[in-house]
Amino acid sequence: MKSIEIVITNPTGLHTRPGASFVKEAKRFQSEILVKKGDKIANGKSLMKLLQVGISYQDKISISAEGPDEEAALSALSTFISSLED
Amino acid sequence: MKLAAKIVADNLFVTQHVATDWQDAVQVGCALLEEQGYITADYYQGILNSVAEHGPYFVILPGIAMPHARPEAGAIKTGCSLVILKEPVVFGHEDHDPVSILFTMAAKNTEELNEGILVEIMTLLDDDHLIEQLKHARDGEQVRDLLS
Repeated sequence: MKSIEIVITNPTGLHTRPGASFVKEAKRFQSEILVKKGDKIANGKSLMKLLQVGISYQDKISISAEGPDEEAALSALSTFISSLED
Repeated sequence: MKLAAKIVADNLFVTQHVATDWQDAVQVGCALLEEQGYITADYYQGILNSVAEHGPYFVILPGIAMPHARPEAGAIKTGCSLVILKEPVVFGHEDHDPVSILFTMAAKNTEELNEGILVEIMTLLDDDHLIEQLKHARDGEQVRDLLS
C-alpha cells in the first residue's frame, strides 16, 4: 500500500463536481483507494462516502492506494487534486 | 435542527409531482426554497447555467439529483427542498437517469456546502431502504414519517 498527503488548493474544495470526477478517475484503477481527513475515512470509489467526509479548501487529506496499480493510481489522483481550480 | 426535520418543519417538500421535463422538476424545487426565503428568483437560472456549462453532474446516484448553483447565484440561507416525482424525468446523465427524487440545495458559502449540507444529504441518502420508500411516497404524511 502507498499513501500520499496533499493539501486542497481548490478554493471550492472537493464539492460534488470535482468529487464525481475524482471517483470516476479512481475507478479507472484496480487498486483499493481510500481518502482520509483527520479521523474520517472514505472509499475513494464511492461518491456518496467521499462527500460525507466534507473536504474544503486548505484541508490536508491523505490518499492511499493498495493493489497492482497503486503507484499509477496515486500519481493520477494526486495530479487530479493539485490541478483542481474550481 | 437536523436537515430531514427542517424539510418537514418548513414544508419544503412535494410528492407525486408530475413534471414535464427536468427543468420543470428543478423549478418546483426552487419555488419551494424561494418561498421560504432560502434563495432569490435568480438561483434557478444559476442552476440552468451550471448544467449548460458542466452537464448534469449533480445526478449523483441512480434516480437521485441534487440540483444546486454557486452561493453567489442567489443563495440566501443554507437548506434544501425535496421533490418526489410521480414519473421520473431524464437529465441526460450517462449513468444515473432517470430521476425521481430531487434534493434542490442552496448554501450560503462553500464551507456550508461542502462540510454542511452536502454531508447531511449524503448521510441521509446512505440508506437504500429510505431511498426506496421515498421514491414511492404517496403523500406528505408518509414523507413526514420517513424523515422524522
